[in-house]
Amino acid sequence: MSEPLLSVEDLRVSFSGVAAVDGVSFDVAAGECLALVGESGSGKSVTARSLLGLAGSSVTAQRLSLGGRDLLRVSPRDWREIRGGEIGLVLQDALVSLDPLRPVGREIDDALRLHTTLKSGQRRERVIELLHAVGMPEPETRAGQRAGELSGGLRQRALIASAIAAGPRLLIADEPTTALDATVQAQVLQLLGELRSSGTALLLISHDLAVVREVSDRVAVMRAGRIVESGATEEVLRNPQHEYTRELIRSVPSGVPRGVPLLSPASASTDERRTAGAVILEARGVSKVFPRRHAAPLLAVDDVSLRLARGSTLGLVGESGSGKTTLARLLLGLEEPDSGTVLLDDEPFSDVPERSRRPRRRMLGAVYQDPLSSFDPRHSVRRILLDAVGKGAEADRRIAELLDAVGLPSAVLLRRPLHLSGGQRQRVAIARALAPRPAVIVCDEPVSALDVSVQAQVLDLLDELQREFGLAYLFISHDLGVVQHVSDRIAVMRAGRIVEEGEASEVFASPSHEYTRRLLASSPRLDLGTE
Amino acid sequence: MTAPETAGTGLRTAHLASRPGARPTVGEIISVLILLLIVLAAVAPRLLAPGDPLGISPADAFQAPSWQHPFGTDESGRDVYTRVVHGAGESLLIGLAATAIGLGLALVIGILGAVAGRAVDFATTRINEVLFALPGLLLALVFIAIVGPGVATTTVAVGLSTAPGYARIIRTQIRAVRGSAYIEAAVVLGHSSPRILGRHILPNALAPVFVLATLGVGQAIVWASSLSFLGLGAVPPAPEWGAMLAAGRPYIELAWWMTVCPGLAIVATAAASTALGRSIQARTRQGDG
Repeated sequence: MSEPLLSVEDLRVSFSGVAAVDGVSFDVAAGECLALVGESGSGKSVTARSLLGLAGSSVTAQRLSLGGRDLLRVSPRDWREIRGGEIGLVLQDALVSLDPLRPVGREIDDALRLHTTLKSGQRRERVIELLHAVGMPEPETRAGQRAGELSGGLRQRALIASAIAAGPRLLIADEPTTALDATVQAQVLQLLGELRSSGTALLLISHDLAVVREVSDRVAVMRAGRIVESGATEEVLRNPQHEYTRELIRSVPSGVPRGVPLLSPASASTDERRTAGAVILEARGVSKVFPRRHAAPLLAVDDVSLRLARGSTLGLVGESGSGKTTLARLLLGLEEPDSGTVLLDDEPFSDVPERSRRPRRRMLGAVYQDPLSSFDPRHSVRRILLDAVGKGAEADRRIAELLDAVGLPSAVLLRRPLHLSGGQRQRVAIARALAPRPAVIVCDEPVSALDVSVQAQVLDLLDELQREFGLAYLFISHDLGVVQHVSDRIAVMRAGRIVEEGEASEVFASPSHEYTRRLLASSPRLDLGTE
Repeated sequence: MTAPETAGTGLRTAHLASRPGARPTVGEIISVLILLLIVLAAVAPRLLAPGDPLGISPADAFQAPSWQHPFGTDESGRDVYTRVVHGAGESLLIGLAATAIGLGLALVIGILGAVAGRAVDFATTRINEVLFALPGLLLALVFIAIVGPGVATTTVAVGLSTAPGYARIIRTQIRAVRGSAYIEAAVVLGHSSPRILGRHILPNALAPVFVLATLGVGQAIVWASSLSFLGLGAVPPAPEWGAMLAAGRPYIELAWWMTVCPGLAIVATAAASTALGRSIQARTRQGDG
C-alpha cells in the first residue's frame, strides 16, 4: 500500500478532564473503507469529529494528517476549506442535518459554490448530475423539493450528494443507515460501496456489525476511547482476538436459534419445544382508518387477522409506516377498530365499554421502544412499580420479586429512570409490565434503542421470563435478525396488511411473498457460520 | 512551539454547563432579601416602623426625607416610611389573594375543559378566547363598574382578569401530558381515569403553572395598586401603596417623596417576585433534563 490518505497517530480528546478518545491510531488509504465499531460512549463519533476540527480545543495527537497536510496546524479559515472540500461528512439523521426551509438542490449548490469555481449554470447541471449519481429518482424535480418532502432514504441520498459535491477525498459516514428501513439501507450501502470503488476513502462509523461487514475492508473496534482490536474485516469477525470483540459478535442475535441464550453459553435446551397453548389474543379482520387533512384517509391497518397462543412469541415485522404500532394499539385496546374484533381469552376486547374492559387489562402488558417516556417523570422506580403492583401488605415483597426477576439491584428503587442506563430502564419497564401477572406482553421495538450487548441481555431476559411465567409475546421489530431469534411464528406487515404469516423457520427459509423475499435479501446479515 | 499541545485551537466548543443545583446568583439573593423584608413588613410592621401610620401632625407636613423621617412626611404630617411599611401587608394580601382567585378559577375552567366532553371544552375555550382578547385591566374595570369600588372588589377583579391566561395554560398542559406515553402505560395497567388524572396528569401538568403563578403575584400587586391609584380600590387615608401614589400626585412638585417612595416599594416588590419566579422557572426546567 502506498502512502495512506488519512493518517492518525495517538489521537487524544478529552472533555473537562475526562478522556473521550485515549490514544487512537489508524490510517485510511484512497479507495479503502475503514469501519470504526463500538457502542455508545466508545468515542467513535468524537474521533470522527476531531478529523473535522469539531471536537473542541483539547485535541492532541502525534500525527493527524490528510494527504500529507498537517491537520493539527490549520487555521479556522482553512478548516472551512477542508470541511466539505477535502473531507465530507454524512450524519445519521438527514432530516436534522438538512435545512428544512431550503430545497435540497440549494444545499448541494452551497457545497459547489464554496469549494469550486463553477459558474451558476454549470453548478445547476452538476447538482442534477450528483443527484443522479446517488440514485435519486427524477433529480430535476427532487432538487426543488425541501427535506421534509422527501422520504428518509431520499433525504439520506441528498445528504450524501451534498457531502460528495466538492469531490472530497475522504468521506466520513457516521451511522449513515441507522434510522433507515432495511430495503433503503441496502440502497445507501450500495451507494457508499460505489463511492469507495471510485477512489474515495471512506471512514464508516457504526455499531452494526452486519453493515460493517457489507461495506468495509478493515475494521477497528473501539471501547472506552481506545481501539482494542483492528484488522481486515473478515478476519476480525471470523477470528476475534479480543474478549470485547467476541462479546459484540456473540450479542448479534441473527442466526442464533430460538431459545439459545446469546450471552451465557450455558446449556440451552432448544429441543424443549415450548408447548404452544390455547389462543390467548386474537384479531379477526380488524381495520383502522385515520382521517387526514388535505389527503385521502389513511388505511393504517387493513383487514388483519392474527392469533397469538399462550406461551409463544409472534414476531411482527415491517418497515416504518407499515401499521405495526397501530395494530399493537388496537390489540392493547388503546384504539377502537373501525371494523373487526379483538378477542382476549376468547372474549371480545374491542367494542366493549372501558368499564368492563378495565379489569381485563391486567392480562395484557406493554413494553415500549423508549422506556423513559413511558415513565411518569416525577416518580422514582419504587413509585413506578408500586403504582403497577397496587398498595397492600404484599407490595414490597412483590416489588422485590419483580426486581429479582428482571435482574436489577434493589438500589435502583430510589432512583429516577432519568438517572438509569438504557438497559436498566428497559428492565424497569419489563418489571412494570410483569407486575399484574399478565398472560401477554406486547413489545413494540423493545431493543431498538439499545446497544447490541445490552440488547442481547434484554433478549435473554425476555426469553427466560417467557419460560418461567408462560408468557405470550407479540414482538414488533424492524430488525429481522432479532425477530428470527425470538419468534415461533412470524407475520410480515406491509401497508397495513399482513402479507405473509407462518412458522418462523419456514418464513425465513422459504419466504412465499415477494415482499418478504425482498426484505430478507436487503437486510445485511452476520451469519458467520456456527463454530 | 513544537509541542502538539497547541493542536486544534481552531475551534472551541463552549461548555455552558447549566447546573440545576448551582449556587444562587447575586440577583436571586437580592430578590429573596427584598421579599423577606416585605413579608416581615406585612406580618409585623411594628418591628420595622413602630409609629402610627394614620397619626396626623399638621405642624410636620411636607417635610423632606431626614433622619427622623427617612421617606419624609405627607400633607397631614404622617410619616411616609411608616405608611409604606404598613402598606406592605395590604398590597401583598391583595396580590396573593388575587392570584389565588385567578388560579382557582382557572383550575376549574382548565380542568373542566380538558376532562369534560368536547362540548364543554369548546364552550370554555371560546369564552376564554373572548376574555383573553380584552386587556386584563379593562376587564377588572368593567367588573368594578358593575359591582362597585372597594378593596375586596379590586382583589376579585384582578383575580378574575388573570384567570383566562392561567386557564389557557392549564388546559394545554393537561392535554400535552394526557397524550404522553406514560399516561398510555397507566391505561394499559388498567388504572381508572380518576386515578390517572389525580396521580399522573394533574401533578405533571400543574407544576409549571404554580411556578408561573409566582410571577403573577408581582403583576397582581401592580394591577391592584393601579386600581387604587384610580381611586377604585383602597381609599385614603388607608396606607395602601397605590392610594398613597394617588394622594401624593397633586403635590408631586412640592413633595416628590410622597409619590416616589411608595412607587419604589411597588417596583421593588414586582421586580423581586418576577426575578425570583423566572429563576425558579429556569431551574425547574433544567431539572427536567
